[in-house]
Amino acid sequence: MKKLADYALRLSIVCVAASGLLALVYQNTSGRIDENITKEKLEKARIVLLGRADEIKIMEYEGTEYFRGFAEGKPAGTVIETSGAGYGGPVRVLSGIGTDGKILDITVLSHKETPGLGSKAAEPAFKDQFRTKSPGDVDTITSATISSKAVISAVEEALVMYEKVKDAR
Amino acid sequence: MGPELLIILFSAMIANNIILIRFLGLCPFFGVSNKVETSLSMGMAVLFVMTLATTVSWTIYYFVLLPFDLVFLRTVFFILVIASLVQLVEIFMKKSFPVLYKALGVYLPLITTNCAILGTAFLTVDYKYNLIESVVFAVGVSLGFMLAIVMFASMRERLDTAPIPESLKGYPIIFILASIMSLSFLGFAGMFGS
Amino acid sequence: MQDRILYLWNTFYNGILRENPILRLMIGLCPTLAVSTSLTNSVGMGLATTFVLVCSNLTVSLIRPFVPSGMRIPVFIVVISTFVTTVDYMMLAYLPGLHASLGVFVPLIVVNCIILGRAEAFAYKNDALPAVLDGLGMGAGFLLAISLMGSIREILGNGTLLGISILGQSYNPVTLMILPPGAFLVIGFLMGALNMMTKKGAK
Repeated sequence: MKKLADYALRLSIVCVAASGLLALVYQNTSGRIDENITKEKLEKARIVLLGRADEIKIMEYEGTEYFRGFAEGKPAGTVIETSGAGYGGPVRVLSGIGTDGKILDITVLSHKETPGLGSKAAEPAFKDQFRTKSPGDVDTITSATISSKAVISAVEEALVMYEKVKDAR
Repeated sequence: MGPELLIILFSAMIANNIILIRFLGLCPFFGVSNKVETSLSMGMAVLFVMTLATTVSWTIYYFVLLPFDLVFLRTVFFILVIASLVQLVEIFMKKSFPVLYKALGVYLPLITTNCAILGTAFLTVDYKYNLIESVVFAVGVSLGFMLAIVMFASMRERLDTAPIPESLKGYPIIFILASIMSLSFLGFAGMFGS
Repeated sequence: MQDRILYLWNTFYNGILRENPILRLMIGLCPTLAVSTSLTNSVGMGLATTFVLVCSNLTVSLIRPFVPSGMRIPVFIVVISTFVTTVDYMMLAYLPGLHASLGVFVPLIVVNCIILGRAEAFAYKNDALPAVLDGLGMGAGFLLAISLMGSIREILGNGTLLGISILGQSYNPVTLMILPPGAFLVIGFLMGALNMMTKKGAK
């Protein structure tokens, strides 16, 4: 019994030392990590607005985050993240919507679609269609129907949300 | 609620089989699957430990780590939970079910380093499952583990009588066999999509 | 002195070929098969694992006097998971792209059998310097094997290496190679090839 108590004490000391080291690491990196996450989000939002905005503001609607782009202080577009049901899981899409309510550009943030097949839905050949066609007119990719439809439904959902937030300040 | 849980169960068990698709739990998979009996025992042990470990880890994550802003200690906590659970299970089994304990033998401690267990605990947090969904997921994963390892063992038992090129005898052919099994499970991908 | 240097060199070199953790000892398979879909990912994983392995071996070797045998496994686990968490957070902060690719496998370095295996089989029984060299050697062996797999799978499965197309547009990639079955296939044939080479050498 005494041995067990001795072991427990030693193990606790090791755990305390370990937690101490980790707390140090966490403190020194958490700021940078949050920065990275925000930087990445803003950068993607900027790209998807086709460079029309020089400033991006983070906004909120009913608990969901979205972005508003500004050029010289005036609203230049809205960026909304949505996801559609893909073949291998949710397909996350970032949609850039211009002040006229039409899609400027989209980018697929993450997906688990089949490499070489469904993954083509993230590539320019498919996604650039959204720049000129409305989601209902976009051609799906042969043998990647589900992946294509996932992106399409995500974009449609973004447009629906856009209607709700387009006038928000 | 019912059908969603069934989807989680079957998706975890087959379409996203922990061994053949996610690559977790390979060491025991190749080490223990030479006989069907031992595979079955290992599968049962994993089912027990995985379900228990996931439940406890989930609880600790949502009731201790998150509220106290200690998420960065997640890895340490989870693995300690698993190691302690395995130790406790071993002690309990030795006293109360000595026959079963003897049957599982050395495989019980080996479960600690089974990356499938830690991986599953992490996945329930990443997928943001609630407690019931996490338990169902853990059960599905371990059933999938058992399915894969038992099927594999029965195939391996047949290998002795098959004509195999000299260089491929032993582990190489076993991996190639696993490759074909993985291919067949891959066919289920997308069946439980979303 | 010469003997000592030879001993240290052998300790290091052991992990690269003779007792290569993946192709010979058959430990550390999970991350190898899962992460080796491209050379970049393989190298990232190999380096991260080596870092944790060396730190873990060193720490275990140094705290030996404080750790009685009956409680060594939990201690190994705490030490290893601490260093893994450290690598995880440092990667998130300074190499977010690499971290996104390695995904769930960074925390899983904790149960990478190589690290626990070497802590138990070597670091706990040896001094600091040999422990570090063993870590470096095993890490290097792991890095080499996983990079070899990553290269093969990327070239055959994507036509690229390090993201650069090398087989040209006309090559129709064998997508299977970067999917799970491909991983098992490649490692099976790699082991078979190694068997063939060592048999030839024995003759």
